[in-house]
Amino acid sequence: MGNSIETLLYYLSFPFVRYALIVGVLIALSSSLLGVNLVLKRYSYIGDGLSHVAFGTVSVATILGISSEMIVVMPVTIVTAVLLLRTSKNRKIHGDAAIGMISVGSLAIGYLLLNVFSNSANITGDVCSTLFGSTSILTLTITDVWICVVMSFVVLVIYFLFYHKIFAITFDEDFAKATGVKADAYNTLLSIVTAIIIVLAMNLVGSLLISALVIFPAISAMGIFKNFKMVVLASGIISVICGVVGLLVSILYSTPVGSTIVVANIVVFAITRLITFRKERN
Amino acid sequence: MKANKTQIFLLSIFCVLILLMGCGEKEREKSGIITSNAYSDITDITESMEQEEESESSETFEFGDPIFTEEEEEASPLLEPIDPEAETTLVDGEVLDLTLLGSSMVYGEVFSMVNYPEQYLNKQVKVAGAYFPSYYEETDKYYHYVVISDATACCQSGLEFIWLGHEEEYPDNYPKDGDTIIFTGIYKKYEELGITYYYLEVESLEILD
Repeated sequence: MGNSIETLLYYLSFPFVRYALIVGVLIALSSSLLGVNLVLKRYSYIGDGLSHVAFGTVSVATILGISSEMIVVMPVTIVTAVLLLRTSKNRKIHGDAAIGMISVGSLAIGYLLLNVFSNSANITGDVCSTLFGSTSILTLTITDVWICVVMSFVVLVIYFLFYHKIFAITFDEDFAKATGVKADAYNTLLSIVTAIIIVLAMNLVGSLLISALVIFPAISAMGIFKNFKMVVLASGIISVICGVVGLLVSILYSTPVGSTIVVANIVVFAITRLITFRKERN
Repeated sequence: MKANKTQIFLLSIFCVLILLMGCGEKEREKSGIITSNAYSDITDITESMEQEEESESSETFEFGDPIFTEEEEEASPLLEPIDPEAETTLVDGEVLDLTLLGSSMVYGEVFSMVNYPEQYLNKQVKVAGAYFPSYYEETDKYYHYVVISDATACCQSGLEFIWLGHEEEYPDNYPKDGDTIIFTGIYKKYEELGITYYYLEVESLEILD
């Protein structure tokens, strides 16, 4: 144990490890806060869908040789999020089917384009890293870190500024509209913020595992607390702890970062279920 | 009027976000798709790194220059206080022993060495990895690399090395493709065809079973 702590302290002296921790904490916090709203609105899988859209967009940007893929990925993901999350009673294809179609379609098209047009000699490795985020978080530049910090800060500020409105449209959108809340506008805002978080979170856990950051902390918190504010708070704390623990364990034992963070979330979920079960029995 | 204000606010945030996204410097590896092939990506990465100013401590390598006397020291587990301006925590005389790090850490550190090479110039680095050579027609030379993989071996990064005194011997006395090798070298740079390349200057290397 002492050896592990010494090794960890040594690892923490490396700048890229500190960058990974900073970004990991901010992304985990931002995604967990949003996750509560998405889970309650029954849009848990939106993270998956949007991340696959982002993957497809990254593939296109890479093939086109666009120097900064974020310029393309972020707007496309935001537009997709807005289209998916806007409520519309007249829609012929409903939420879950729409997410599914866009999700698998983007993944397939992205992988197809990479195979046909890419110049990379190891497409499988590139794709694997993007999908599962094995070491993406450890290869951030200082510019990437600042972008993540600023974006996360913007997301957190928006969330806390509009907390009450977001709360209203999450629980009863029709009632919120009836009381004068601009539900459509806030849904659009939620969509934009969700898209930003998804694109940033791809660095931490990869495209395929993003949903875990959104779903697990919220569900774990809901198992213990019934008050919305407490759920949000607990979700944030759980996500940050799992993110940090997962990151440190993966660095120490050379496991893939994304998977390790998700496993940490699963463990916490199992513990909260156990606590809930024992409470109900008593 | 209220609806317009909200829309303007949202649009402003959107524009700010787009502008921020465009401010990042070109980072090929940060497309979300990390390049992973050893030789072609090493060539691409090193070709894209052009130094703007010559640093005072830089050396131009030429074959036949006197060889440094290497003093190999154990890396201390807790390094000295970190200079927040520096990308690396190495101090002179210390050996950056990549063989002591986990595979994820090694990959991250090699990424750092490739992207911020000036911070590692003239530092001693101990590294283990798979050996691969590559032939470049334009210079009619073979270039030698040690390739480091991450934990899942799906991503790889490599460092060029020059084995002093054995430059013209390939393939005799050189490891076979894919052999695991270990060595300590000094991180240096040279210019070729107008492009600056970074490499490890190695006196001896060992082939691991």
